[in-house]
Amino acid sequence: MSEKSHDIKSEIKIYYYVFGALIFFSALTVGVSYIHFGLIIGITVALLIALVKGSLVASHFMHLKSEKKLVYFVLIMTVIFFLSMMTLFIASFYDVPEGLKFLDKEKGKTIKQQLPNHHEEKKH
Amino acid sequence: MDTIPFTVQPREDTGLFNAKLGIWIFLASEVMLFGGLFSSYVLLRIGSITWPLGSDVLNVPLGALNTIILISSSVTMVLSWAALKEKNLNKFRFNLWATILLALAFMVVKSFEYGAKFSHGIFPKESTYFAIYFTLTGLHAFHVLGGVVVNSYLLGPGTKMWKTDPERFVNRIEVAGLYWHFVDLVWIFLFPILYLL
Repeated sequence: MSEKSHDIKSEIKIYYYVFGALIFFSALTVGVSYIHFGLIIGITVALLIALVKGSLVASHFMHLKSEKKLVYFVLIMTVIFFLSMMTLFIASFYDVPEGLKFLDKEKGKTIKQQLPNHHEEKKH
Repeated sequence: MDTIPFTVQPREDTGLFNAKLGIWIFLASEVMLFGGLFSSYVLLRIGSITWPLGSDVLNVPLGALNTIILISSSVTMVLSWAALKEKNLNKFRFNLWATILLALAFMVVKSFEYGAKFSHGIFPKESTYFAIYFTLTGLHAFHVLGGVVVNSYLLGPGTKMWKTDPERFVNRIEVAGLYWHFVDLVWIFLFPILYLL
């Protein structure tokens, strides 16, 4: 019993460290957003920080660092289904017939310049 | 009374008490709910001609404040569970109170943000960005309210179980905590994508 209560004492200490880390990363993500890296790097950095914060919450507050196998299985399935859904959503963007997109011939050029990663898919 | 078995002892085949498996499956469905909207956000954004920079149209300091508030409430939630593990009911009450009050503080800040937008005549119909902004943050706010309801029950009448079946009560707090940390986790992703990018 005494060993258990010691465990929880050291756990509580870790919760405070995690709290500190989460505050730090929150400040970091706001700070970094003032530096204009451009959209792609900006999104990557912001999502990376969010992922780090998310995994801190999940592994410590949600006790995932010491959980039973079945929970991990549920989570892995969730990740697979979530990524599949997101892929379907994004894929649907490239499945719109030519005439139905925002682009018309004159405007098309400026839109392409704004969104350079779109024009390869248009050829299909 | 005990219609649901394995509220304390883990089931042999799952290795978990039933409520824990239940909440994780529920959270998986929640990931799909929010995931669908996150995917919509990505689709709407890559499909749109213009997209405002979040920090130009929203109040970043208020959003950051709400991030701090929600992270703090996550900490007090896990501390309330740890307090029960230490058999310290007063500490448990203090931390769960703090969790609920922080959640309400989050809602107050959020309502100020919404109010500022509405008073400027900005509603979801304003643009695709505001449509997805109000949908995502609105759904998230409902989840915060749901957490307040559950935690208030556990702090009020629910605490009686501490006397009759303490281990089961600790498990209830853990499960409520898992939900609450998930709500925090969603905000951790919502804040940068809506406010900063």
